[in-house]
Amino acid sequence: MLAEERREQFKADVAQLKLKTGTSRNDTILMAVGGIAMLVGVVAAFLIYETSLSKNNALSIASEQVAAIAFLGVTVIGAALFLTGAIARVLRIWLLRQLYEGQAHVEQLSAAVRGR
Amino acid sequence: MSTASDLSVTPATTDAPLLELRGVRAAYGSIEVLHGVDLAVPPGAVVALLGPNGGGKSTTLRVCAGLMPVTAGEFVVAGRVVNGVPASELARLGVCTLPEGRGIFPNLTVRENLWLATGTGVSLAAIEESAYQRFPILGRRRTQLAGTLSGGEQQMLALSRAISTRPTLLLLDELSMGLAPLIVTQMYDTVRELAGEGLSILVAEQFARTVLPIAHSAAIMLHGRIVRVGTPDEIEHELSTHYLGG
Repeated sequence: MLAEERREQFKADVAQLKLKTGTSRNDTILMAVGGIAMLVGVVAAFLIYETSLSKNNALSIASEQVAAIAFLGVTVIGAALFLTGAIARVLRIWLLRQLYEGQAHVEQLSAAVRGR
Repeated sequence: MSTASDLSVTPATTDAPLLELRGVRAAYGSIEVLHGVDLAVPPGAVVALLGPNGGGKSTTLRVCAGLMPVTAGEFVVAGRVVNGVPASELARLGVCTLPEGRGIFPNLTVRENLWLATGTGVSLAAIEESAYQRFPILGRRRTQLAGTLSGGEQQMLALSRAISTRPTLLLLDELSMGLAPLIVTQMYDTVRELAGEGLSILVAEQFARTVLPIAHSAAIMLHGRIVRVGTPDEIEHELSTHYLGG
């Protein structure tokens, strides 16, 4: 294979490279899934509960209320996912800020030491 | 001393660099050893990374090989930022490293050492043909234990194994270490041939004058920083100043 062809192949391979970096994208996905689960849970639980009020059969009422409680569970799980994503994002920004400030502090100290 | 703004390697071609470090910092634990390195290896060029012991040359090569993580800055390969890419992935793509101290297996024969390179998908016959053609002495020593070869022959074996994988980018660390001047010249003649075949090469070398004749550009590294970049002629005039700390 000619060097030029090999180089082009190399560039193409690098372009297709999958890197395990940028995990902050997962935060957005978690927050989106959590938000949707919360919304669906609350709306579905309310609707099922409302429907159960118009029922006369005790068995139907009980089963619909169980379904409503299950959807409340979905709401809780959604809230947990949303909070995980939001907190991870805040902590990541906080960590970056700490690193940045730490580095600036080290540079300031080393500049001061050099100046002596 | 040059300012940070003019610390960029002049490419041998107009193409974008195949490998580039932008303000790269790297550390061993809490001790930072690279303090913002800017370096570029254009396609088909030989870039010499020079400097005295402890300047950060080998660490820079380790970063380029993916063996050491970047703590800040950008590690760019073929125009793409690849911070955190594992060394195995870079090797698979075609970034080949020849470490300081040759990196051969002394308890294996020459042939068995070459055999190890077949993991990249090239047949043993092809690797042997290429190695023995370039270094006929290895052909005569094919059944000999690699540890019993002379320093020069060991380096030839390491280089043969590296180039048999058909790399795109070759990283050479202290090729001349422990070798007789005649062998060093022979090794760098081979590197010159490889560059002529279109391979991009980054050479870290303490003995600057051995590599400058074949380099397209050179950079001097001191205390984890690139302090001067230029053509081999420009660098040659300033070597003693930088090496002696004047």
